[in-house]
Parts: sequence; structure tokens; C-alpha cells
Amino acid sequence: MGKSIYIVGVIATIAIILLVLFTIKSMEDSRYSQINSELNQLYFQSQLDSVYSEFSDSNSQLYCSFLLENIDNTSSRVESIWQSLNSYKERLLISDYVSTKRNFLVTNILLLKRIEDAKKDCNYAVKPIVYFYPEDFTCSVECGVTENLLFQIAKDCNKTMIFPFPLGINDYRFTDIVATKYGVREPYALVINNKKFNYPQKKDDLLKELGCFVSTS
Amino acid sequence: MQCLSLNDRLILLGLFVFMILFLGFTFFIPIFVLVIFSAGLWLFVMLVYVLLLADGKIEGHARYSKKNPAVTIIVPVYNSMNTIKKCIDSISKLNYKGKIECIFVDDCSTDGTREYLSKIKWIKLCKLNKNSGCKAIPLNKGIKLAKTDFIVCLDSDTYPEPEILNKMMGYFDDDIKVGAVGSMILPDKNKTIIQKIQFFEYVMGLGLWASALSAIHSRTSMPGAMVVMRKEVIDKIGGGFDPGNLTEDMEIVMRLQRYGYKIKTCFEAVAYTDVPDTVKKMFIQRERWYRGRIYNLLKFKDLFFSSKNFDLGFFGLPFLFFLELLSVVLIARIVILLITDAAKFFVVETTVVSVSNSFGYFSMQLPVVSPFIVLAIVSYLFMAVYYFLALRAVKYRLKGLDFLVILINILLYPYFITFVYAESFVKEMIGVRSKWVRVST
Repeated sequence: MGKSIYIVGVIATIAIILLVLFTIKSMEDSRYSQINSELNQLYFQSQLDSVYSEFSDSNSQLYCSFLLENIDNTSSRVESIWQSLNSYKERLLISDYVSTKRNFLVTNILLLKRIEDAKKDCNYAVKPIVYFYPEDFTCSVECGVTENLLFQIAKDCNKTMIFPFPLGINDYRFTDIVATKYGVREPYALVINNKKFNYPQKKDDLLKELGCFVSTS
Repeated sequence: MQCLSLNDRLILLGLFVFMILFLGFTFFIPIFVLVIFSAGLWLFVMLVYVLLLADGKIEGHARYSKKNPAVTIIVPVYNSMNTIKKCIDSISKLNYKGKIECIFVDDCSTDGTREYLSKIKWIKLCKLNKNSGCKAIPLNKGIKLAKTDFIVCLDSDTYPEPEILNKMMGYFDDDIKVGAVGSMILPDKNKTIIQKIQFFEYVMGLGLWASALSAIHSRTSMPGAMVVMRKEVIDKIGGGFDPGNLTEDMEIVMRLQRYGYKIKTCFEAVAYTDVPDTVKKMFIQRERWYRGRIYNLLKFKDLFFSSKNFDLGFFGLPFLFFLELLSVVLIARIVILLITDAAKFFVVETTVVSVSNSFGYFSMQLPVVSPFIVLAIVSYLFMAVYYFLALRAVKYRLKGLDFLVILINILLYPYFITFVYAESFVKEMIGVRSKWVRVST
């Protein structure tokens, strides 16, 4: 048998794989662009917050009502974006994953800052859970379980918001600033009411810490 | 029995180290890259097969001989009372148009086989004085006694269909370079899950796939349960079967190809054989196959990248051997991942969160549009087409339980078989002694 059959085989294999990759890329790109457009909107809102904070008194009625409304709008969308980004974590086909995640994290940091401001200036009763995780294979199970637990807590406990930040990843070094603020040096860590937890916690214990007494049984 | 030289064991050690390093490397590359890489190799093999099929290169249909030369059926026997009657019965029902001589070589049976055979007048019984502990020595004895130009090696637990020789002998008619013709071996019983698993394994491996490898002169094995060989060729390739070999049938196939002889496969010629009926027996049988395979691949390492036979040298041997090693690494990677995740999950589960909280973890892992799933679907589509063609070749119609067994064969069986392969590899590498063990009833 000549070599031609192997050459045709190699070419056909490459062609099929490229076709598959192209199909997946087109499908993922269209979904991914939705995330990007949502992130753009969130970014615009955070800019708008800055405008309000620059041009009005920090504890004025106008500023507070605008800020609180904006936070409520933003926070629900941030959670869904985080979930979507998680599902794209290992997709090499998404070329701008890192830049999108950066945008998301910056938006998240700004949202956390706004919430801290709102708590201080407008008596906003929200309870942020700041969650630092290593974005690699070392935390596949603990992080997966924790993430799911946090989403459940966010549902069960009103006014609870989750702020996930990868830590120790070169592409997202700027999250160190948040970690430093909360005294966190290593992932995995949860921070609630300035209290650190370095291992997955029971749901009831977290709810207690948050002041939510919802029975999980 | 077979024992690799120090040099060959060092080669295996080198491959073993390479596999461990590659396994370590897989932890630092995205799983997606691994999936594309392995799916690509798998697709390539399937495409070569499809191209051969489309080109009409794959043979395997019955070829009726115009000459109908005389043949000698050689049956090595050892403690075969459970199967010998059925074997003799199937031989007596052969309606081959040429002359048939039948030699049974008894390897010092102690269960009454020898006495039983001595009462049958139409067979020639050759009694060995000392148990050889292998199949090769009785076979060689039978070959020496045979007076015909063609010999049929038949296992004592194998039952050929009446038309088998008529269907196979035509392959020898026009081409003197055809050294051997293999048949389609199927399990004699196909009722339990274990038998059915082996049924589909045999159909997939010995039917169209074997014919495809025959078409490109790249057979690296051929079941010796029922095979026809040209007798003069055996002398030309340095004698009969290798007594010190766990898979003497594979050894002779490689030797035939080294000397430029062709191996043909006739998947329409069916012989039914007893297959192991427990997982343990399956393990023992496959361990013998794989140890023999690894041993013979090293024995014939000069054929790797040999330009004398491009297909065997550059595809049949290195590519398929590489795929086997890669499968071990990939499956080890998956198993390690599953075990560590399961262990972590168990720890987190039992110490921290309740079951209801954790289940969501798995649902969260479901990908949106996973390249893994798309590539898997493409690969499985090719596999489905292959299953369809291979089953059609043996005119088998799927029944209810068959679908479940095919799923087991595709999704679970590779883990079992890879484990046996890895275990066999290590045993050959460290030089564990081997012996020929009979596992059928």
C-alpha cells in the first residue's frame, strides 16, 4: 500500500478536527459576546456610580437611592456572569478569556468597593462574602463544592453577595490588593464580616455567621 | 517460557519512564489539548480504515478455491475432554471439497482425552511422551507429520463451521506469497454479559479491522484458534511455532511478514471457540495475549520503521504500539483524576457539607458547549459506523441486551483492558516468569 492513504488520512483528520473546532468556536463566540456586552453594561454602571459619587454628597438621598438601586441591579448579573465564565475556564478556543475575566474581576472589585461605601454612607444592609480561590486543578472539588454552597447561601439569605477572586494567578495579580485588604495571603479563603475561613464550612455555620437562620434540613 | 533479554527490558524501562513523565506532563496541559490529541489519533486510525474500505482494498469475503488442495488439520490437545467431542464433531461435519487429513497431538492428557481419541479411527493420534506445557511443540510435531501442502491449526476448544475451508482456501489459489489465512473467531456461547463483551470484542478486532490490517500487510496478531498455513512457507521462515512464546500465533505472523509473506483474513469463515466465562479468566487470558504481544513487538523490533514493509514499519507497528501506550497514559490520567476527585469529594462531603449541597457541584461542571463533547460525538459516530459495518460483515443483528453490552465495551471495557495491558507491560519489564495457562472450559 502506498503512502498516499496515510497522507489523505492525516489531511482528513486535520480537516475534521479543524471543522469541529471552527464549529465550536462559532457557537462559543456568540455566547461569549453576550457576556462581554453584559460586562460592558456593568462597567458603564460603575462609571456612572463614580460620576454620582464625585458630584453629590456621599450620604445624600439622591446618591444613596441611586447607589442602592444600581448595586441591586449589578449584583444579580455578576453572579450569572461568574457562573458562565466558570464554564469557559478551560476553553482554549476563547482567545480573550483572560481579558474578559479581568474586566469581570475589576467590575467585581468596584462593586465590592461600592457596597462597602454604601454600607458606610447609606446604611446598606448587604453582607458580602469574599471568596479567594486558586484557579487550578488543586482545588477542583473543594472549590466546586464551595461555589455551589455560596450560590445556595446567596439564594437563601437575603442581602448576601458573593465576590469570588482568583488568587496567585499572574494574569489577575491585581486581586492581590483585595486579598491584602482582608489579610488573606493564600487561597483558599472565605471572608465574612472580616472573619477568615480557610476550609469549606458547613452551610449552617456560614448562615449563622451571616445572621441568616434558615434551616437547611 | 518467554523471557526478554536485558536489553529489551531496558527498552521497556525507558518506555515506562517516558510514560510516567508524559503522565506527569498531562497534569500541566489543559485536558482539552489532550482530548484533541487523542481524538485526532483515533480519528486518523478510523479514517485510514474508512479510506481502505472506500478504496475496495479490504478483503475478507469467502474465496472458493478452484484447486481444493488437500489439507491436514492439526489439533494440539491437553486435558480437553470437555470440548474434544464437539471439536471432533465439527471437524467431521466439514464439507471441504478437497482431501482432509486429521492429526491430533496429545500433550500427555490425564483426563481420558488420550484414551478417547485413540478409539476414533479416522484421525491420526500422535502421543507426546512428556507434557510440553505449551501449544507450539504439539503443533510443530503435527506439522512434521503432515504430508499435505496446507496445514490447518485448530484449537481443541474451537468448532469450525462446515463451510470454513471452502471459504478460506481460495485465498491461496493465485498468490504464492500468501503464507497464512485467518478466520473469524467468535465465542461459542453468547448468552452472558461476559460472553457478549467478548463477542463484540472479537467481531470488532478480528473481523473488518483484521481485514484492514491484512490489506496493508500489517497484521501484528492472528488468533491461532483456526488458521490455515502454507506448509512449505513454514520451512522457509525458519521452522514452526516458537515453543518459548506465550503467543506463538502472533510470533509466526510477524515472522511471515518479516519474510515478505502475506497474511489474509476471511471474516466470512467462522470458527466458534470457548471463551473465558469469568472476569478472572478473561484477565488471565488477556494478560497472556498482551505479554506475548509486548514480547513479540520487541522480538521483531527491527521491523519498526523498516522501509521493506512501509505499512507495517511505519503504521502497523509503531503507530498502533504508540496508541496502546498512549491509551495507558490517558486512562491512568482519567483514573487518577477520578480517584483524587472522588477522595476529595468524600472528605469534603463527610466533614463539611451535606449531600444535597454537594450534588450541585457536578451539575455546575456541565459545560456549555464542550469541545470535549463535540469531539467525543464525532469519534463515537465513527465508532458507530464501524460497529455497524463490522456487525454487518458477520451478518449479526443486534438484540435488546446488545446495546448495553456495546456501551460497556465502549465506555468501561477499555479501562479493564488497559489495566491488563499496563500490568502485562510491567511484568515483562521486570521479568516475571510466565507460563501458558488454559482458561476455557
